[in-house]
Amino acid sequence: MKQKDVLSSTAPDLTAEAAAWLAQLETGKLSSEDMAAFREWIQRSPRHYAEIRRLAGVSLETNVLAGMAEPLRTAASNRKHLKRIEKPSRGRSFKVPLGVAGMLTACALAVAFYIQQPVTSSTPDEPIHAATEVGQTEEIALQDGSRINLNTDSKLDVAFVKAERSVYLEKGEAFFDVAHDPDRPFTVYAGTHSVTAVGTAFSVRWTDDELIVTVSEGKVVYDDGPPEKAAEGLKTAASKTAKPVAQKTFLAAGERLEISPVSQQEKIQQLPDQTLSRELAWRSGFLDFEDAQLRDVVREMQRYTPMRIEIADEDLAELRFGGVFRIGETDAFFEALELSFDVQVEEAGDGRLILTSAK
Amino acid sequence: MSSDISGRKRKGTGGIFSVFREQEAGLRRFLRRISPSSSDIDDITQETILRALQAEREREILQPKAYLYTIARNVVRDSLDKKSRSVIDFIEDFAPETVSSNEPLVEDQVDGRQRMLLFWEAVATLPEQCQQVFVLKKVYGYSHAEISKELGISVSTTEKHVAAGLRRCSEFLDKRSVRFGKESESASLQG
Repeated sequence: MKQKDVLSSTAPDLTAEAAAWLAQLETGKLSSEDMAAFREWIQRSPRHYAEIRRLAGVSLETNVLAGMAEPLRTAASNRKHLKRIEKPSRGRSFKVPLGVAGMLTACALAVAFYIQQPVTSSTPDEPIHAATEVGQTEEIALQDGSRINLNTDSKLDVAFVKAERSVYLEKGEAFFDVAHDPDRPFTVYAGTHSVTAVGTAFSVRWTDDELIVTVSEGKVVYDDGPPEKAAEGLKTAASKTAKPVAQKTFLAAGERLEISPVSQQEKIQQLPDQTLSRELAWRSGFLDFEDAQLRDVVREMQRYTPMRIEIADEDLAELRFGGVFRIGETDAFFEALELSFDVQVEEAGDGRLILTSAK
Repeated sequence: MSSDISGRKRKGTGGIFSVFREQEAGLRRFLRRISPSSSDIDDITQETILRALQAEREREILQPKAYLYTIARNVVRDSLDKKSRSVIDFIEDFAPETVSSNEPLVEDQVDGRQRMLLFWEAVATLPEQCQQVFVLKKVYGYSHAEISKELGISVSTTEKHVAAGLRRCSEFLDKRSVRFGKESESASLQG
């Protein structure tokens, strides 16, 4: 950490210089004068070397952006409306022209999306009501330093009192990055369910009477009962002295709890890191699918569009599908289905979209 | 993963190779578009089918067409990585003796998809021309000379934008590492 502090006082200049040199190295042509100047620069101090070496590592890492080629290409055509299209013939699938202009439209949309500033509550302890429309997301900064990401078609109220931080999720999905405060448990209520934490990160989804809790950091306690119990349960968990009281469920990082609306049965799964980050990609404005059944993908996609998506045949529902899409750009999803997966997308005219196999 | 119980019709001897034959022209067009600098489109195409055949030996490929394009993208990614690593090697020749060279690379520390979205967020905050440059470079694998030509700007302007883009990505990476409680890791990278 000491080194970091030292760096941060001088970092802006050093980083700028290192970045400029690195960009020149990446061009690939260094004259002998340039080479001599570079040698002089990098040998000025170990920090000079360390900084350019660090940035070169970052540069290597950013190559991962190559994976955006496909989502961008599909977004680039930027169709205003989905039109009835003929069965795609073999070999024409990848003829969609990608000009820089189209690509930039896609970039501009991305900018417009990210520029949204987090909403900050003005006075302390004033209740906050937040809601999002279908296809919209929002970030909320709370006075205690906690942050909430609200996903599509969601509604919640925040009420902080002295002893407790309470959030009522009326519908939809929200991710909570909770500021640590052992004296004020942070509780999210959804229907009769509650999820409590003191300082951790987790998401709660409450749609169609189905509850899904996913923990990305720390641990939380789930309770299907009055709030006080949940808070007590957490203390029990923290002290690790008593056994967990019946009815309470403890969830650790990487775990997901699902409560079925019908049976009310609890199902807990350990999620691999990759799955976890995919499922929380919506916070960055993306939907990320990998090798998922089209049935599940459509169910997820449905949350972000007012159109009703229907899969016409059973075989198609089982198609394995993957891709990254921006929230609010559902057209790109349908286009990918048509172009890469031979699925025909037809608009029925009454707000329904029918997916059939094009084969 | 036994194919007996899948009940799915095995695709004769052709398999992914026949799909490749059908798709080859389209695949080449795709590669040329995402990576105009590749004078070695042939090599990439070759590499793609080799990897696909290898994968097919291990498991059944359900979406051969989509799968081929995914592999092609990975091959392009690998060639970008190769260039980045050669720059790193060049820099490491200047390593002072006091600096240990076996620090873990940043790439090992954060999940790939998460990183892609993180960098994409960073790119989205860049000014317009800078964004154009960075996207052409990192998403489409254009060289600096190709970017200059495409956008009608000088190579030194391109470099300026590349440097700015990289710094923004670096800032986002630091910020995210801290937010995810990995201060120690991000600090060690500064060393």
